[in-house]
Amino acid sequence: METRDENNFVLIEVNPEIYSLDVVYSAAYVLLDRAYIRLDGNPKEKIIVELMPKENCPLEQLKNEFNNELLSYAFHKSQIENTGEIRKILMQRALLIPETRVVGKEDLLNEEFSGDPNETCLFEDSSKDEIPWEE
Amino acid sequence: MESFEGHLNLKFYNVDSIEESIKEFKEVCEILFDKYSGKIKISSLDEEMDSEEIFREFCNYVLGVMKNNQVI
Repeated sequence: METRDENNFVLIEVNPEIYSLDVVYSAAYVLLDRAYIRLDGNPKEKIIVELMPKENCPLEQLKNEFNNELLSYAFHKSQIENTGEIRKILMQRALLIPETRVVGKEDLLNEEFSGDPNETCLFEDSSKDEIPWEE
Repeated sequence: MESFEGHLNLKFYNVDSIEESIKEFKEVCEILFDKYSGKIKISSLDEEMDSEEIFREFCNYVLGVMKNNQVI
């Protein structure tokens, strides 16, 4: 990666074999509110990123932040690639759980009233055994 | 009417996103875009706004649109 400082902007040359184009897009997107950014060059050979700071943002700081973002997104991308297979397996497991029945409101109401009204309730009324605190 | 000529490298900028952005900027400026070469001519409709500055904002806006479309 090479940088060239001009009057009020900086040109950063990025090697696409190290930082892919989507990593460059992501890093640029983070700085959109603080800098004017323009991409040029060739996505397969050399990506040129032109950074021009907006108000109150030092050029050097902007350049360093962009480099950090590049590294951060490149790491994030490699992690995604490394754990891709595991995530795929977990997702398959989550989606292949045994068939579950979706119960709607009507089903619940039917079940509630379809039972025998004289049937003994599993949860007996415990209020009979209650002793007031005063006693 | 003051104008500025710039260029967007179409290897990096998506033509659909540029055209979508042009629609968003039509109240601020007049934009002529050649979708084969990437040349852009911007003429500010507001005397207080510099055409070159609008061009820079426009480049940022296109990048934002591209990112949003990618997420969607």
